[in-house]
Amino acid sequence: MAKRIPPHYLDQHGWGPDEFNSLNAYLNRLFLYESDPEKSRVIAQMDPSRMSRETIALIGAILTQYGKRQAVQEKYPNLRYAGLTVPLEIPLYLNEQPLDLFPAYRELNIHY
Amino acid sequence: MTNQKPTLSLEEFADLLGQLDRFIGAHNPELNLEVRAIGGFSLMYHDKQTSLVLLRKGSSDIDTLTHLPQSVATMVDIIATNNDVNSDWLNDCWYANHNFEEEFEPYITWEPTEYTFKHIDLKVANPKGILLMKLRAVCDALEFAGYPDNPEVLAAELRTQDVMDTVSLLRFLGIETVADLEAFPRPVEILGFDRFVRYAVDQGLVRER
Repeated sequence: MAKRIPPHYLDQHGWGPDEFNSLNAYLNRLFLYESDPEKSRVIAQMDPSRMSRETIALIGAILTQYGKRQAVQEKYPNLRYAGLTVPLEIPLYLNEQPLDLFPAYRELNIHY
Repeated sequence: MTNQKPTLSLEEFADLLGQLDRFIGAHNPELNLEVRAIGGFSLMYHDKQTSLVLLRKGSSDIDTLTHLPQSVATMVDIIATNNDVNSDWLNDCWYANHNFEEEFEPYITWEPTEYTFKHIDLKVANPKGILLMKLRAVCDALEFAGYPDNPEVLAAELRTQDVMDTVSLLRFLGIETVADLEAFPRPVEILGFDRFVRYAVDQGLVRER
C-alpha cells in the first residue's frame, strides 16, 4: 500500500458526495474518540491552513453536533481560529438525496 | 495528485488482511483466526454485494466480534505501521468492552465473503443482525437522553453514523412503517425501543401507517 496522505489534507479536486461522506466518516471517528492518544496526536498536528473550507466545516459540524466544540478548541489551540462555525457559501452534499437529520450540519450548509 | 480516498476500500482492507494472513503463516501457522466483522466493514460489504445503499460511506476499521490474541494484536500494529494506517484497523473492542458477543452472537448469521485466506476465516454479520446491534446503540442514546426531551444530551450521545446506518438497513429490509418496525424481531430486550419508534416517525424515517 502506498504511503497515505492524512485524509484531511487530500486534494479534493473532482470529489463528489461519496468522497466527502467518506471524509466525514473519518473525521467523525477521529473527533468522537479524540481522547485516544493516537487520534489526539493527529488532531494536535492538524494545520487548518492546509485544509479546504469543506474539511473545516465538516470538523465544525461534527464538534457542534456532539457538543464538543468548545472543549476541543480549548484542548487543541491549533483549531481555535480555524473558522469552525462559518457556514459554507456553496452547499456541500454528503448524499445525493440527503436526510438532513443533524442540525449542526444543516447550520453549516452541509447536507447529510 | 492522488486517487487515495479518505477511508480504506474493501480491497485495501482485504490487502491488509492478506498481509496479516502471511504474517500468521510465518510466525504462528497453527493459528486459525476467526474474524467476524460487524459495523462499517460489514455494511460496506453488503453495499457492494446487495442492493443495500449505505448512507454513511466508508469505514476506518474492521470491528470483529471475536477475541484477538495478543500475538495477533502485535502483528496488526506492525502492519499498521508498515502501511501508514490506524493501529486499530482491525480491533476487537466490541468483543472486549461491550459484551456484544455474549448478547448478540446467538442472533447473528455469519455470511462468507469473497475474500479467502489460509489462516483467517473472514465472515460478515447479516443485515438483520447488524440492525439489531445498531438499534441497541441508537436506543441506548435515546433512552439516556429521555427523548424527546433534552435534545442537546441526545446530540452528544447519538452517533450520527449509527443513525445513518440504521436508516440504510431499514430501507434495505423494507421497514417503512411503524408496524413494520414493531414487527422486526427483537430477541433481546432493547431498552428505549419505544423512543426509537417515536424518533423514527418524528424524523420521517418511517411512516405512521
